[in-house]
Amino acid sequence: MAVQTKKVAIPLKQQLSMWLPFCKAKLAEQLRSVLPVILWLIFFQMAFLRLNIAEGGIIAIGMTLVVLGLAFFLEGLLIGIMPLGEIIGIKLPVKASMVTIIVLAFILGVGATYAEPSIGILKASGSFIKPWDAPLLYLLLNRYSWALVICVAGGVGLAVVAGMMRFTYSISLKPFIYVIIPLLLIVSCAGFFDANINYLLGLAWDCGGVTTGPVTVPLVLALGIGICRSVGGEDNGSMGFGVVTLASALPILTVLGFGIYFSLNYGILPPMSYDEFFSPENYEKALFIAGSPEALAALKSQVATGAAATADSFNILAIIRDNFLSAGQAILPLTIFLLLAFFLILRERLPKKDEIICGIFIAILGMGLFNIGMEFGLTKMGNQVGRRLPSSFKAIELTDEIEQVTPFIPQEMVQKSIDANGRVSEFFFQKDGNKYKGIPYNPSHYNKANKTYTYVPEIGPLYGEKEKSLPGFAIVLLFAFVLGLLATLAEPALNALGMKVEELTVGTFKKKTLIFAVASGVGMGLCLGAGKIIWNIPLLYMLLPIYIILVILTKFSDELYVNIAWDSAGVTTGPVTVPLVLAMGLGIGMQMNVPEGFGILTMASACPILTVTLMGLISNYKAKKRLLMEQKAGEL
Amino acid sequence: MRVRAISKFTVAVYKVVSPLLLQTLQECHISDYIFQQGKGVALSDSKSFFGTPWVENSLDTYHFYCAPDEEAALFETIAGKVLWHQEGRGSVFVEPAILLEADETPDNFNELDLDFSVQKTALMGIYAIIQRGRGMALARRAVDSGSGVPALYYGTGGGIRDRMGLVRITIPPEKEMVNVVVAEHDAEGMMELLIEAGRLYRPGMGFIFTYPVSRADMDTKSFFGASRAAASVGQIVSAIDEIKGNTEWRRRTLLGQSQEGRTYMKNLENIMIICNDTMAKDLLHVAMNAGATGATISNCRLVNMESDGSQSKKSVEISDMVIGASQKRPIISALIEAGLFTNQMNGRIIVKKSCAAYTYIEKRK
Repeated sequence: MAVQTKKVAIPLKQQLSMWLPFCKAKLAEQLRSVLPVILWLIFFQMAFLRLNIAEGGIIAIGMTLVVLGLAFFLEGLLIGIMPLGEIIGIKLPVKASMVTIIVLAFILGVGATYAEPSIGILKASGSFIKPWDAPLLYLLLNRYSWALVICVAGGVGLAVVAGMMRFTYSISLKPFIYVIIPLLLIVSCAGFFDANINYLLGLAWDCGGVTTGPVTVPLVLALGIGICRSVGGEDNGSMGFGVVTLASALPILTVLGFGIYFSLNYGILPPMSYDEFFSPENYEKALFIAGSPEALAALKSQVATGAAATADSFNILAIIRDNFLSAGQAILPLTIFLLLAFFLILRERLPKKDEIICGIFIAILGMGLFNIGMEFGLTKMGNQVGRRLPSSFKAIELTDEIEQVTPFIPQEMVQKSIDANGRVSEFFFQKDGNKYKGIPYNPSHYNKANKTYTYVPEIGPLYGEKEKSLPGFAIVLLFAFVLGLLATLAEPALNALGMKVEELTVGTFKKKTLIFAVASGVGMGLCLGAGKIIWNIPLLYMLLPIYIILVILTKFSDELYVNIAWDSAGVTTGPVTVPLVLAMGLGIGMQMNVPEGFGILTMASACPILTVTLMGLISNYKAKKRLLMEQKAGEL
Repeated sequence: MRVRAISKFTVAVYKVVSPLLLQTLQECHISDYIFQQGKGVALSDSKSFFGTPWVENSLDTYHFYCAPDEEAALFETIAGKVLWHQEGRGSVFVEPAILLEADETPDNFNELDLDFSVQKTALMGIYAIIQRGRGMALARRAVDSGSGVPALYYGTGGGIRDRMGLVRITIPPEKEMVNVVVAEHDAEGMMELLIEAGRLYRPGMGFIFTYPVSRADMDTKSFFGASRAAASVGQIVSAIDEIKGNTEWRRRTLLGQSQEGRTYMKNLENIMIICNDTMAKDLLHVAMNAGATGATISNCRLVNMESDGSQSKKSVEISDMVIGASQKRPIISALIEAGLFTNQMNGRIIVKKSCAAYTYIEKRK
């Protein structure tokens, strides 16, 4: 039914007076959510690591873009992408058959994974993996990364299908948790005893949280809310949540399953030393992992020359183009697919068409700005802190602050020293302001021709007497906790989830409360994750107790809280948290020489479930106590 | 199309009471009801995590109706069996109304009698529609004045905003509704109180109106915690009510005083349109073309209870609008013409009386 309405024309001047306060309010809101994490990074770097901020100007521009981008993106989600999902969710069960819904849901899930190339994030966090340390992991992240993507996509596709069927038939989320989580834990435990699969565990569990990105989550959420509204499935309290949970859990299963299948059928080498890996009897199998003889040779020589140099080209236009392209890629295919589905299957007029189209474009603009801002600002800042973070517990080289001393005459300046064991080492003094500091002397860094001595300054350990002492680690854990807490505040998908929860519960479950519970959970999770890397604790030792507790708590919780709590797990690992967490994880991981740095993200998504469930249990207990007291008084 | 007088019940109970209410409804042969999620606001003696003593509990709200001659019996059953005539369980109130629903008979609209003959009632409901996020300010004032537990609902506003261009996204459409029921002699004072609390005398802040309520049993439990006296204020009040036989003794002159001599709009009617999900906006535009100014739309669930205990649920939208009595006929006939009673819409209309309304009106220069 099309109703003709007269348009009200508003003069430009008045329009301006409406837009300005609106934009101001939206920007202020995002500034409030992003500022804490920025301030923490600056404060930590300056106060704890006692370092100045490099490239402050660019970082400031980047931060501004992040705020702008988030404001646009969130608004785009709220007026464009989410209403589109919700309308389709409402109309679909009325007009389309179950089969159509299943097919649509599957395509949507698979498409979402391809649209948001989170696999790049996983590759980045696996970039320092050596093929001989974890052959299967290396293989899946490099030569067979396409297979990894298919596994994840399949998992998410299945999850969306299961989620939509769940809403249609009003099935509780609890049975899904009771089946999937123990299954995951059993497979993980079994994999723990296989060296190759053991290394894969971190990757598999991380896949779960990472795949559900800032576009997928709100879209799937809105779709679910729509379907629930349409079929009236709110009775069991799920209200449209819970798909994200499945989309985080099922990919773990598919990736682990694929890993096990692969290692059983292709005879992957077990983890071994560098020499063994390149020994002639393993040549065939090593070749399979590297892909080609040239790649194998490159791997072999890489270690000799040190880490591969990263090209640091700085082309602003290319960065802008790439980021807007990836933003378009993340949003357009999915929304166009949904619009097509709407027009082809439902054959109806799209309500609020102008708002939705405008919202989609605002979302792309916002995401593009946000990505650029992240690249210039927050990620750069995070990398700076991340690289230097280990200086709190051990001496690290500041590779970007190389110093040269000329003229340097070794005969006059180099002195000898001896330690308690009688080892003699050479050093020289450098005057820095009023202080004299000793710098170790290495003859190979001396250039005789121009009488220049080049050295890389070292700092740390800043805390504690010795290297790797507890005070140093405590600082790292503190950093991780506050970082998790504050970065979560800025997550757009969590904001969207919080708004929906508040709306559907008529404000009895506040967005603020949810975000606070999730944020403290993420903080705890990052703490545990950092601890995992520092002390090289197997991931399973942390996952097993947490998930067992979670399954038990789920038994005693309300359906609504269960759905929201488990969903917030997938939501938290979003575009703000992930790069910062990776920077931190890589920083610590590289200095501690662990084979792989996965697992931090998993911890960051497991702990919020715990905090939200606990919060739900406590507030429910209070409310029930209040009301049941009256009940009892009445029965007497 | 069929038109008949009904008694519209609104029951708002806490979650723990809901199952008992549903069972009672089934026993009373109420076959369908509309469910709306709301919340109740009360004080607590222990401070919450955020340091406020205010607690918000989910209130399950059920709308249904019966024939006027069955009103007394149904009311007594619900107040007695479900609410146990006690505080802390929920509220029930009844409004006289006219229902228009689809029927096999042709839509011979013009000959129908849509006029009200509502006598003066002893009770009055007050319904305020404000910007989302401002409801608590009104609800707290209502609790502070001792008039029981106010119920809050969420909805979306529609009206002139929909006729603007894209600039409309700068005006948040989300609305919050606050509902309280008070004695008739307190109604004006309470309305003044709420107008002040919500600053409704300023442009764009919201709309408030009163409506007649024929019967009510309102929850007065607005404080949760250890009792500091032998009986709660609510218990004392209801005991005196019983002794005196009326609530006239509670008349308060200082509840809220109009200082500027606000002029209320009178002779209004409240139209509730119930239709299939996502249809309310289209119907609103039809109504606006026929003279309505705007409406608040809330998402609810229509539940049909079969005799064998099975239920069928459907998502519906309720569009609430207050119009001048003279606009009633053109608007309703436009809605019917637009297909309100067709299968696509599955609509019905409930018309209620509104006594007084207030909102900011720009003074003509």
